[in-house]
Amino acid sequence: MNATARADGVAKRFGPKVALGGVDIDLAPGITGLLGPNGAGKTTLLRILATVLPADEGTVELLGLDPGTPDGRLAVRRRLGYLPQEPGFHRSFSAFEFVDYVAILKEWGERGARHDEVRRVLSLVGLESVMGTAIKKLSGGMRRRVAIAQALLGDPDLLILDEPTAGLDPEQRLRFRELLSAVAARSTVLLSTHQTDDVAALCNRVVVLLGGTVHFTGTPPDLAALANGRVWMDAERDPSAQLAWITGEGMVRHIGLPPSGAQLVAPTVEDGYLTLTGATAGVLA
Amino acid sequence: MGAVTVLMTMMTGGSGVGFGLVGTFLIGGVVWMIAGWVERRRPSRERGWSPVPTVAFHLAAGHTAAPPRAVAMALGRVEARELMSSASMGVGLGFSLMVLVLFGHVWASDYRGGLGGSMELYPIYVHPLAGLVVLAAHRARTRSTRDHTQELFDTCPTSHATRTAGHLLTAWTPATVAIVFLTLMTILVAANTLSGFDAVGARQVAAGLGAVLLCVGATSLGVMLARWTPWTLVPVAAVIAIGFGATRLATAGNRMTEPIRQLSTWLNDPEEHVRFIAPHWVAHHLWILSLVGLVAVLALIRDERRPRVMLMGAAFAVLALASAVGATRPIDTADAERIATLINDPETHQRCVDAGGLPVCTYGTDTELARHIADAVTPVVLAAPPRALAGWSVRQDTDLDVAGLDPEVRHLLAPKRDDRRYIPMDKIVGHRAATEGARLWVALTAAGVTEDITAGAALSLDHQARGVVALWLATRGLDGKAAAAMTSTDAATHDSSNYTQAFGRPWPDTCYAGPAPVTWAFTDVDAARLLLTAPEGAVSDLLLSDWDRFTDPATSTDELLHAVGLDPVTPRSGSTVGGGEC
Repeated sequence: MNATARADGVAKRFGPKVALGGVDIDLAPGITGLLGPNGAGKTTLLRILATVLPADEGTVELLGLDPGTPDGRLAVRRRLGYLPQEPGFHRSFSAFEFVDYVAILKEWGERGARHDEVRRVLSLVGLESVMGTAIKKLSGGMRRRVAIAQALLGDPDLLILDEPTAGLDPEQRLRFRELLSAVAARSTVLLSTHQTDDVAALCNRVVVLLGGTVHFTGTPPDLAALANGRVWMDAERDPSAQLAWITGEGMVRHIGLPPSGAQLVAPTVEDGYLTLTGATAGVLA
Repeated sequence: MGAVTVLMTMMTGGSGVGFGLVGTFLIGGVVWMIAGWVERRRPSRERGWSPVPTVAFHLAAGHTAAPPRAVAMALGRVEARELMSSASMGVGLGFSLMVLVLFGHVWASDYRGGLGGSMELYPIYVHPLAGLVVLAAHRARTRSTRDHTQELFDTCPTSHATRTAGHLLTAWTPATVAIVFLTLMTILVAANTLSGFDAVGARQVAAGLGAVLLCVGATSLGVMLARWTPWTLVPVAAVIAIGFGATRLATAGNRMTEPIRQLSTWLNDPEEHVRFIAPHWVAHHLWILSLVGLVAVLALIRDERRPRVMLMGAAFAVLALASAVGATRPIDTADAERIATLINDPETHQRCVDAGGLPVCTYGTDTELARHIADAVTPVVLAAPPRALAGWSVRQDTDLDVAGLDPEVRHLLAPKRDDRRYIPMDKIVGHRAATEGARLWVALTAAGVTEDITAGAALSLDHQARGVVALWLATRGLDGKAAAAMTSTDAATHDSSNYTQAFGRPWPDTCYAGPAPVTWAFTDVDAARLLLTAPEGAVSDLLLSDWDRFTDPATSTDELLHAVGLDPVTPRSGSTVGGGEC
């Protein structure tokens, strides 16, 4: 694989708490989904890859550059788009003014070209009609799209998005998928999310982080395959199943060790993820 | 200290170095270029994660990264807009408007320093605005922390130092506000005082520019505090501390000449003494400039210690030291001699205008005032016989608080001559009380009273006809209401807002007309009021026909009334007294 971003043995501690305990990850052009439960270290890993935080241990290489050096970090930042998990806004700014401000910080000095670029990215996220509206007057979903727009400035080579679809309505999520798939044609995208259907729909690779270490790297079908033979449907809840829930059709979907004769179904990425996290936690045998 | 001495010598073009400011700039330029060369050769250093952009770079979209200077300027434009629309700036503009109305309009004519003296107060006029600019600039630079955009901004290639530079560049906004504010103030003060633009010299212009510089410094201070101490209350505490400290310095010691006052951000009111002091104003403004520069450098080096910036910091530190020493040094000998001759020999330095044959003389920059006073006293002069004022002139007084002068000036003062026939025009403002004081002085002189006045005590004119003649003369050319006010002893019915004669005495407010040189018996003031009821032509003919008699101290008030054909006034006890201390 031709990696555009690589982390080898990356560790990070916050006081006594180990956030990352030696993470190895390679990112190639396309979209890589980063899955993991809360507290798994996803955001910490993303912040390290986005040059927000230095790693305590291990090496990081981004776009062939060493972000540990000032010049390397500068070069990376010039080709980086980043959406933090909880992006703040200057609430008195309009959407246009805020993205324009970020564009200035991304060294778009010439006003005309910069404004064209700001309008372009705001149009990409469907905010062209409200770009003059103060951010404090926008809905949560619209603010999220403003945050996505700023990450797209300048068509970055490396795009790191921390839960980008949180707060988006279904239509906007679909539009976001369309947009991201277009971006991924030429960029490397790392997408942290709890939405496994986004991963299944978008990502060509997926990494599962559990307890600060990588527990899975592969394609979404590979992740789904972890649950092969462990997902079945039944009319009644099977008490031997580790996880079970009633689906929209009124059937009970089970994950675990199926009883003989069970009606096995094809697992999804979510099933694979739950199988993996359940096994790690000792819930699933 | 050696560097300070060299710098001061070079700044003043001393013979030891010989090329003054040009040499300073030449050496500075060479050092600047060397620092730039060193900076380009050494690897970029930074604090934490902030990068130092050094080379042009092609972004993914084929866009060329703007250099830090262009980024800072673009940020500066955005932040300037935000600074102007901040609540703190709004409050600052409100304070400025209040200062404009009060000092430019309501109280402008009361101010004894005229336009020149008023301009020297411009630095203090902008202090409310500057204080709020500190708060606004601090809030602007800490906005990213407050709004939680810091993490996002930290992943952008623009360094903290460039962002700080962008915020520092917003200083043009409050500076522009200050320029507009002070321009309006100048127009208003010029319109409301009598000393015109000829009273404005380099020192006054520098004071105006110094006020603008304070607003630039306020921006730098706010940004610097934001970088080092990003807590909300810090700028508030800093503004209060600086306000107290500056006030303490500005009011220390002698009002006119205390050297330590030059280290304050504002200088105390010179009032009418503006021409008798010679502060080292260039050094004072360099001191302020160096502080502003130091603060800006402190803001920048929080994130990036580049050789050029460090060099600038060192240069500002040396300049601060040198200018502090320069500003607090004793008065220059040449200035002391110049001021002493202004006081010793006013005839040489004053210009006169004619008031019906009586010269009215002021120092060169106050000719507009001289014309105003001449217009006011001409009817008084014309009502007296020409010989009564022969050899006299009205002169801007030099009866200063000598103790307030620089010791070097005091040393050179000659004993005051008593052979001069001057009518002192004590205050140099166009305030109505001062004008009426001038009328009374001329009238008293025409009535032969002035030569009997001794310094330090008011001369009693009780029951003397000449006192009544003087009051009648002083009212020449006034309308009935003003004439009645000058001869009223009824404090209760007087309009206290018109404090020319607010307390039932002829002598106007001593703050503007100086101490009363005479007192009248209440009976005499009543007599003067009675005299005003007689036909003016008849009274004038009578007085001119026998001037020596009616201005003789031995001639009583009753004799004068009898000669005019008026009954004596009802006697009552008491005399008018002056207004006491101003």
